Amino acid sequence: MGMSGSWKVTIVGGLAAVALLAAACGGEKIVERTVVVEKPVEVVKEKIVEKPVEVIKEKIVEKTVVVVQTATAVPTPAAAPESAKMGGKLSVALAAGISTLDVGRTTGTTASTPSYAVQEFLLAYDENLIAQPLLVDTWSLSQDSKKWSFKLREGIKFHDGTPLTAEHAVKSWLRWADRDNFGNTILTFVDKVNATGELTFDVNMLEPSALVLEGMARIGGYYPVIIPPKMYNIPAATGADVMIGTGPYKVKQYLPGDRLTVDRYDGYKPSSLKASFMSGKKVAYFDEVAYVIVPDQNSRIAALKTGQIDILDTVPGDFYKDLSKTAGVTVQIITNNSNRQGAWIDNVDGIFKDKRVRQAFAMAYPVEDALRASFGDSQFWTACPSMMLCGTKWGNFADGSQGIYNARDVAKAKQLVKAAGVEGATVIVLSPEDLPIYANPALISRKVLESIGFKVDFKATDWATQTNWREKPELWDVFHTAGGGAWGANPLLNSSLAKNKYWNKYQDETGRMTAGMDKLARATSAEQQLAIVKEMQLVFWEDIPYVSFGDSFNTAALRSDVANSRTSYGMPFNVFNSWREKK
Amino acid sequence: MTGYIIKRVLAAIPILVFVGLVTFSLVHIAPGDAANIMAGDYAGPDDVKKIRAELGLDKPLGRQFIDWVKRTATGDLGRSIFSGQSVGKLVKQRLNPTLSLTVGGGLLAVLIGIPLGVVAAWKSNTIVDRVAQVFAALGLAIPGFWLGFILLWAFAVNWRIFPAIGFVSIFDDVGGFFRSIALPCLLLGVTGSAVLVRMTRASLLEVFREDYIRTARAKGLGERAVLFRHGLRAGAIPIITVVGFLAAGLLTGVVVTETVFTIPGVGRLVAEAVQQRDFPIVQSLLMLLASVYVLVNLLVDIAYAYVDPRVRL
Repeated sequence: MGMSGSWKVTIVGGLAAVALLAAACGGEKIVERTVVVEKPVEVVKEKIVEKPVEVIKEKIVEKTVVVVQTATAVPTPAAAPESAKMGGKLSVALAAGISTLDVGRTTGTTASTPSYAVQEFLLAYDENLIAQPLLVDTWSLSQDSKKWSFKLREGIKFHDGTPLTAEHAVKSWLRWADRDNFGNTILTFVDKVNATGELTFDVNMLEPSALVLEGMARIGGYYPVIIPPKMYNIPAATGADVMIGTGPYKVKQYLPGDRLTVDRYDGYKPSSLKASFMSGKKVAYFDEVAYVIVPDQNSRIAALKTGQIDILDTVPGDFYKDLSKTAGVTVQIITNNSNRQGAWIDNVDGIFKDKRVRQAFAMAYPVEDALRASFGDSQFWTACPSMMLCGTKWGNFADGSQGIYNARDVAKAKQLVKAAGVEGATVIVLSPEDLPIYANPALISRKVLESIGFKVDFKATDWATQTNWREKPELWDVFHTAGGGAWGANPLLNSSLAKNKYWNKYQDETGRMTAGMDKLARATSAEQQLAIVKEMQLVFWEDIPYVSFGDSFNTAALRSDVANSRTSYGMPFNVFNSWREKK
Repeated sequence: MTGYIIKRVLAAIPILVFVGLVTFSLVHIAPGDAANIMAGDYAGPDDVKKIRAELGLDKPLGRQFIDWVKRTATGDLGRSIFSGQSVGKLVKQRLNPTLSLTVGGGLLAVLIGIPLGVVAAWKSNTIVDRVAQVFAALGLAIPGFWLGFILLWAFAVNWRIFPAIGFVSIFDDVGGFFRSIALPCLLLGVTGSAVLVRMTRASLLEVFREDYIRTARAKGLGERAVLFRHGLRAGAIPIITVVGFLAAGLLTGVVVTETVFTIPGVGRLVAEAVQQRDFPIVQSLLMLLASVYVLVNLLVDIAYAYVDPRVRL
């Protein structure tokens, strides 16, 4: 089987990076290893560049390696060709207003889209979702694996002129860790984080864990962006009223309710690594990028057609055919940025506290009907029997789903309901009428529940009301929502699988899921990780914390002359390393 | 006249207090709060609880009401829960587009509606009257958002005469300003003029049946003099009422127009605040809009008194 050179390099490089991360996350037994890669992989402090073969010597520590990696590779961004145009303006549509400029304040904000161009992380994921250095230059781990030492790149300045120092990095990162769920988890492994010099800082661990690296590159949830004192001195709960970073673009103008405009930051100091997803060298080709708030979807489509908008990150399925035929517009169905759709059920307060009833609901469910009701044609979704998103590293197996997932076994489901003694009980289903993608499957759920012997109290409401009613167990039994990005790719970041963390209030009575998470956080190899996730998936299909339907794909549309801008893993379209083709 | 105005102003105070009470109650009775929206969909019960405490939304409702009354009484409209910016500042930032649309749309409505109503009454039961009535019926029956999208697709997408989205300030670019408000003003003008056409026509038809009109004609006055000197002045009171409500209606009706044409005005601020359950903005803007209604009513009453001295008695 043929494999292109670039893919070979990517894979070999990825394996090398995994090995190096493993080295960095050592445990008890320390051995010397030599890692050979075909091309420079500049992710380590010690490297000898001897093209075409590079030899990297590094201490590799066995055991207690934690590399939280997920998902399949995204295409490597192409190098800018002759037709790349330096300059010009780009307009990106935002569907909702920017409610705060501080991405540390809330995850529910469109500010994260411009933040991607303006602010940077210490480490950043490459196309294989392996954390690579971004603001960090090098790092090392002590022999007892309990102290991480980081060194920042030199000469980096924030947009307000403040030089980046270790103190700023530490304070920014701790501000994030205190706010973010995953950050909270990481802090349970951490003793203290302190600056040891102008550009160096240490993370002292209570026990070894490589989650620190993942925490510095975290996507999904809050962004661990590195910000200046003017921002981090304001508590995240209050939120700073400016957006300052070290990225290739800086904020030029913010008109609340209208737009946020960024322009090229001339003082930007790019990484010397090859551009790959969020990591590596970033070039600001456009002079200016405007993030324009266009709440109405018809208006967004009209603006794209007229060229007032260049990038539309979400296009409803109804518009797909129309836009596909529009001259000057390119429509993309993005399959590596999917969302897991499902029916979330209250595991504690109603009839679903009995596992048999949850199983009955799942095994009677025609998931394709629900996905079709929400997204239409099958090109916009896929049925998926995996616990994690299909297409991701841990989402390509069906273990445990047989006889339950999409089984449509109403007869057996009825028996289970009868055995549980809840036949004829009333189930409350919420339906947010302002969001058809969740309201339409609510109708399917109603039909399924009635078919297996329940009465349904169908409550039509709006999304904001639903979010509030979820807090009151007496007001609901079933609601519909979705999760994507890291949430859907990594069990450790999936709150619906954690005991009592999300509105489904999963109880994990046997403790097997929690034990799986614990093991996963301390797994020593990719094979072990895979085996653990497979075990967890068996528990998932037995316990049914929520009824999983499958994955919906995101459809986006861009002006055809915008090159090299793409979205992956729930991140916004990149506006750096993107350009407008010369006419 | 001064005594009359003072009486009317004093009568407005209890109305505003009542509106304040109702506004606060409605906003807080509506399910959902900003903490849930802020936390995002991945957040669980603990996260929402934490944010609610940070925002002070866990305080008793009575306490929140007293805090709000105290602030409002001192002219402090509060701060947006999401952006942290003062509501006064947010409104000020968005006033220019909204006033531009309201004034432009209102003028267009009056310029279309009154002359068309006059002609319809003057030429009643002719083809001109029928056309005017069909126009008015369509203007009332067609939903604003639908007509807005038709205008958008025709003039912006297909013919590319006007921009599809956005607002340009008159201080930045005069040509761009008129281009950016043309379609929204046309929408507001057409929908607003429909009521005016009907009201003007009905009012004038009634006046034309009066004895003094017959007398004016009998004594040999020209038709133009009968219409403008006797007919229009006598039929003005109901028209003034409708124009007054039209002005207030335009201010609140811009919510749809601003959303369809992506104009960053007060209307969109209200819509976004309601979706996000940003209580301080919703409360303050509802109060502000209610005050505008009260003020417009006051002006209409004063205009009555000016046009018809019997009102002052």
